[in-house]
Amino acid sequence: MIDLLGIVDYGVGWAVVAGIYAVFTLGLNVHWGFTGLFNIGIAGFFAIGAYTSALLTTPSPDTALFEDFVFGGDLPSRLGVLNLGIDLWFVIALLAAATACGIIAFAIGFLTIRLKEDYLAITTLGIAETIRLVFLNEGWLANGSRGLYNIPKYLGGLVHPEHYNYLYLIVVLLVLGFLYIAVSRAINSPWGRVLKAIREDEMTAQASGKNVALFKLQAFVVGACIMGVGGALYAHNIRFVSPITFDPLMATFVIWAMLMVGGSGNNKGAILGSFIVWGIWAGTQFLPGFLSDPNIRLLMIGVLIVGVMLFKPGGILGEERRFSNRVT
Amino acid sequence: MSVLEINDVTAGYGDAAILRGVSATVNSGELVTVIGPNGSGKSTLMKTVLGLLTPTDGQILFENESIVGNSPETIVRKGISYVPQSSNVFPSLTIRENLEMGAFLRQGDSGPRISEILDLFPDLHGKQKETAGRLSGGQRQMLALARALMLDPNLLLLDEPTAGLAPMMIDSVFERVKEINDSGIAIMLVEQNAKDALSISDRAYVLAAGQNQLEGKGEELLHDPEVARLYLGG
Amino acid sequence: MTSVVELELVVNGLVMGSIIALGAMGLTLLYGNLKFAHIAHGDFMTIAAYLVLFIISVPLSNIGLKAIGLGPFTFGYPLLVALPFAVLIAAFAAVLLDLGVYRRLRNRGSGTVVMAMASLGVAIALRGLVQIIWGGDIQQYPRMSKLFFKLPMDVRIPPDALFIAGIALVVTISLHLLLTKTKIGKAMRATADNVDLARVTGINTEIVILWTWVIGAGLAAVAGVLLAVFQAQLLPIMGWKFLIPLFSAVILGGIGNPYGAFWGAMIVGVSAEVATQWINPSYKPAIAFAILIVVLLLRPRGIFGVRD
Repeated sequence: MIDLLGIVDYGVGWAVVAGIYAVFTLGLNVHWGFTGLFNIGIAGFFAIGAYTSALLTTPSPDTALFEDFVFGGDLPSRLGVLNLGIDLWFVIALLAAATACGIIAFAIGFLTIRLKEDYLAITTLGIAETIRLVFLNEGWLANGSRGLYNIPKYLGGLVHPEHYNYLYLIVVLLVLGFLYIAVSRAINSPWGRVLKAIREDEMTAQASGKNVALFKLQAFVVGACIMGVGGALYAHNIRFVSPITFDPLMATFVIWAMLMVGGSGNNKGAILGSFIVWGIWAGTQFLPGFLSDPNIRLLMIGVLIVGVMLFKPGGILGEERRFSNRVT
Repeated sequence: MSVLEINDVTAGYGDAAILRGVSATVNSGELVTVIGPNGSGKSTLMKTVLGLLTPTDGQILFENESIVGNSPETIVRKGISYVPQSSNVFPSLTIRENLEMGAFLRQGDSGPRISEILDLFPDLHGKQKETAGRLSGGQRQMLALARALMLDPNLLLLDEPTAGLAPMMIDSVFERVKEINDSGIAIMLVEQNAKDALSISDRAYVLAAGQNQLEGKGEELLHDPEVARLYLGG
Repeated sequence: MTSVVELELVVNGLVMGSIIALGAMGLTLLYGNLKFAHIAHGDFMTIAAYLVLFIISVPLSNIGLKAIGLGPFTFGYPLLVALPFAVLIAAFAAVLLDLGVYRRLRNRGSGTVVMAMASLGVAIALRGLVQIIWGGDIQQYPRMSKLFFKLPMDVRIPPDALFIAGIALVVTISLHLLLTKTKIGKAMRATADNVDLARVTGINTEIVILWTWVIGAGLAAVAGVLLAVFQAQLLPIMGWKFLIPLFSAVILGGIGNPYGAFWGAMIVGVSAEVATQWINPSYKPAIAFAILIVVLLLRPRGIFGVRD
């Protein structure tokens, strides 16, 4: 009986992380699945979202110990909103995380979205690394390599800490559900159809009078905002962020594998892929012998991406077909 | 004897057929021109012959042998050379290197053949070490022609060799095309400058909307009132 | 009046630039001939560096070749013995990957981004392989510390740097000869200029592509080993981190132009070093990135781009 509870608890913790990854995958689906924007710097938006939310909500560390850290946010106590009954600060921090990512994405996109498509990959890669370097080196901003800890739990006072994951799972699923509906609606709107048209054939879209760069920029910003929300959700779950949190494997590659496996261009696929890949990820821990080596997962993620591209370009669910297949 | 025989070919990009049952023949030693309005499928016809597009229907015979489904490299090896309309030289290579690349399929030293070809194109002779990217439009066309001759083809496909050139240059390109043809190489020429092209052609085809409209001797079509009204600007 | 410190930074930058150049020249040829950003290029560097570590520390060491400190250098001649093997293995692996992955995608008519995506998968898998076999900790080639050389004007430089510059020079000149004197080399440049024209000219572009892989991966292998020597350490992420300077050099030089990539690499290498006069040295990758952005905005076809 106790074992069963333990398994359920583990499962809930697992589902929280999978749900958060699903948020990122939805964001990536807006970039790649629907618009064909090749973003390999998800980690940058991940970090911006997580740090923004953390900085706004976390009390400053003891300044005697960390004298170079001066930025210290702690929005709730400054605004005096701690006692609003509902933890409004969380919503504000989430929106701020999305906004911060949106601003960064707008700046990058404004400069580079007109360039050849694979230049964007290199640009996003560079941005992610630059963002990481800034958080690492600018101790005053976010406590440098030591990172931020004691990030508060949302509605943490409502339930016993042991059961908090259940509550947070509900929060994550609500946010995920909201984003899923919003993205699905947007994609089936005329706006979304233009995005797909651009992805399929940029020249034709251009020729039919669409401002291709503007649409791409909008999609880039929207996807980045969603990733910012994911970053914030992540920060309040792990309750600790440091530059190491945002290594390319956990913050970019895994998300790519999730989208490819589930089916890019399909929001259900994006969510399904997140749960499947995270399931494999968590499951490999229980494998015997060297198979439980965490590095096996890295190899597996790479092979998974290549394998999907070769043998099942549409992923498990494939794209909800209204237009021709993207890969072939 | 026919060098090239195109029978009822249908081809295009994806599901959109651009050629819809086109037929044409080039006999040995002939200069055949294909004219027609923009989008009539002239360039597509050439790309299909060269294997850049695979026809969904119809036959293409080169020297009485089907070449449908062959790769461009194989088709070039069989003796068809092609000069695309634009971007038809390698800009960062020197003129000499461009010619060497034209002889890629040849075994052994291409030096003697380059000298032969350069004799036909005296303009290029003194510029062998210059990069092709620095050449003028007309010189590029000449280099592209020269490169296509490196393999000593039996059939030359020319896609609008005079597009965008100055009138003086146009004349000298046509002159050169005529010379090449007189040396015994069959040519299929796609042209916008229909008048000039027809006047040097043995025969010609008129395409419209991916289908054959008219065919006849070059001179005949030149004096056909309907062709004149539609394609020769009155 | 230029100070000694600045001169040393410039010299260091040139050495770093020559390592970047080796990677970038191969990367730009691949980019030009295959028309996609080869994201696994950095991880080819990594795996080659580790292969040399393996060859030195297992087979060569087992047959008693354990020398270190060859002449003025920190490493021994076993490194020179191992290097060609690493180059061959990297080239062979690249060819296999092309036949197994990229050619299939090419034949299916996949776009540039799909190909780049596949190479991202390859990059991740290669890094996984490195971490599985060698672990994630910092490693070193067997070495002994050596005194710095004193160049004129009191510039001090580690002797290994001269070795690196020398190798880079020899390899670059060999590449130049290959590209300008051999038929396959000229065909490579032609294909990089215009793939479609190359095909209709009768150039066997599939063969050209395989040779491009051999050369690209071989150059990356040399770059990876030299980087491990210069930094006196091997890390699984070393190649991935190198992507930003590599692509900066490639774009600076104009995609497909190996000569441009060479000079682009020197510019990136020197400016990142010299900038540390004013900027925290750990921002070096960001400097390479900033150069890239500026070039993309001002001259998207690169400084040395060819007019078509």
